[in-house]
Amino acid sequence: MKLHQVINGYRIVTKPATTKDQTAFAEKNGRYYFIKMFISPKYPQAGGPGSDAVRQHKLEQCADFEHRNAFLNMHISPTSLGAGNLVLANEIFREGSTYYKVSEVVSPSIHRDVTALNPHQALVVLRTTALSIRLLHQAGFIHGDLKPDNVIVQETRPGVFVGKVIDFDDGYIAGSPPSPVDVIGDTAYYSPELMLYVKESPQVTAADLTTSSDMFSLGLLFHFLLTAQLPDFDREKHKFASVAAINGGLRVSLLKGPLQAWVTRLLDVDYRNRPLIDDLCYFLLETSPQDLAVCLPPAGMIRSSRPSSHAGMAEVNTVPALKGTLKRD
Amino acid sequence: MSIYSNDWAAGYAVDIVFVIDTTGSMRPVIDTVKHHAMNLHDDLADVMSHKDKSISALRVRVVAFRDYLHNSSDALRESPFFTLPAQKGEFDHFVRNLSPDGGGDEPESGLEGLAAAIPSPWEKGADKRRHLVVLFTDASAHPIERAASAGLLPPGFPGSFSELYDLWEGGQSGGMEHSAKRLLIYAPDCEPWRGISDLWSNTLHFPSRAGEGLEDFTFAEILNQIASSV
Repeated sequence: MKLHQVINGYRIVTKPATTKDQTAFAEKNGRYYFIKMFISPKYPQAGGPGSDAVRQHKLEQCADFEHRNAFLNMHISPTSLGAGNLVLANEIFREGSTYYKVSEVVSPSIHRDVTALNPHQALVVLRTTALSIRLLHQAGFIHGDLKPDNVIVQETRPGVFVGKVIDFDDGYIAGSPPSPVDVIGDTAYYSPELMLYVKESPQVTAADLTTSSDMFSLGLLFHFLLTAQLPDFDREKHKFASVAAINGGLRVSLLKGPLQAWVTRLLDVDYRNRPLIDDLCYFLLETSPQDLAVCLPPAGMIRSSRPSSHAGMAEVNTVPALKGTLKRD
Repeated sequence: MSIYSNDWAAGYAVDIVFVIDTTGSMRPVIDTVKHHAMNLHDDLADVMSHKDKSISALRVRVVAFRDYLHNSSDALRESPFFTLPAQKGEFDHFVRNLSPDGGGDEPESGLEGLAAAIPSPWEKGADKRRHLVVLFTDASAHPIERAASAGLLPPGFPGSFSELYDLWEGGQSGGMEHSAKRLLIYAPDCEPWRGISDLWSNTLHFPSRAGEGLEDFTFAEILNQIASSV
């Protein structure tokens, strides 16, 4: 992609950022969008180079990609509860050999954690996030990269904040994860079984990567949203929470009461013991702001540490400074 | 590796092959590579840490190309993989002996450079492995068929663009795993680079101005894009 390039009517208005793929903001018919260019797969062109065998292999890759990307739009109705906070693709198309995804622009009102919100506001963020994940899990789809950068906290009405879930391009259908070398995601939020899978441990197979892998990540994510920190573990001994969990050294000490118990269960090293998303949603819906407030640490115990840096921001579908910098032709 | 070890973490095992046009106009790039060679490991690790990525292993290799059709005897020069930082002295010694010279006409042998880079002895065993080919040129490229039909290419080289495409795309045939591989092209916005970035998977093209030694890019930008692509 290039600045000012027009792709299927979308005019690129920011210099593309490079992550695994390329992303940029685009304008079409007076509205702004987030556009992602996929570097793989590439659709083989008629008369193009390559042998029949390679061409056939690439066609199969493209068919699998198109199926995976159509999966969510087929299984999730836009009118479903929580669908409004799940940032699905507006459009996925191919131009020439290259695939693109276009989605709405999501602007964060608060960066990364909700410690600045009151308990009622924080509870709404947790509930809306959980309901969005519920939609994915009901469809049998695993997000695979749940982390603070992929939950955008947005003020939708004065004083009302929701969690918008983005970036599940690298998600997968339960039981069909990518090969270990293909797994992306933020290592800091990996579940134990995902970490073992990536390490190609014989203890774990593809069948062990279920929606419960997301639930571990969600436990870490919720802990971070509420405290601006990950749960306790000895960082001299273990670099990641998943490894600490495997070694029995992950502790939820900042939270109290029922919330502590729930997050502890979400962080169980055995995925079969973790609550499912429906269970979590029911708990959150039955929890009052007052119930939440007594479970949170005092303000003085919250520090603005960042378990992962600005790394994800380049990938985040946000508008850092579009206003005032964009000019209409 | 024990699960009790703090080293038991999912860092990236990164192999990078720098494919460098060493014709006369490329002096700025070659000087930049020489200047940064000794600290490449630390510089890359630092940039990656800001993206929450860590390196568990880093190896680099250089394929230096000129123009087979101008002078086939000095058209290609290759190094083995150097493990960094342990072998940074040897890597530095190799790049210091690169001299920008020759090249003849404007198209150079960039496709032959790619043909030499793709079947490198890539790391196979480590998890989270990445195989990067990073090409630097300020020129277009001769069709590979010309040098091939003149019998100028080493044995085993692809004899056509189609065969080169198969080498990149063809699964394990080039030794590169599909999701592990990345091709970053710093080259003018012309053929064949434009077509390669359009058709080849896992490929990004950063267009530069022709004939100006890639002065459009700083080393920091290139390092940042390499780290982003890992």
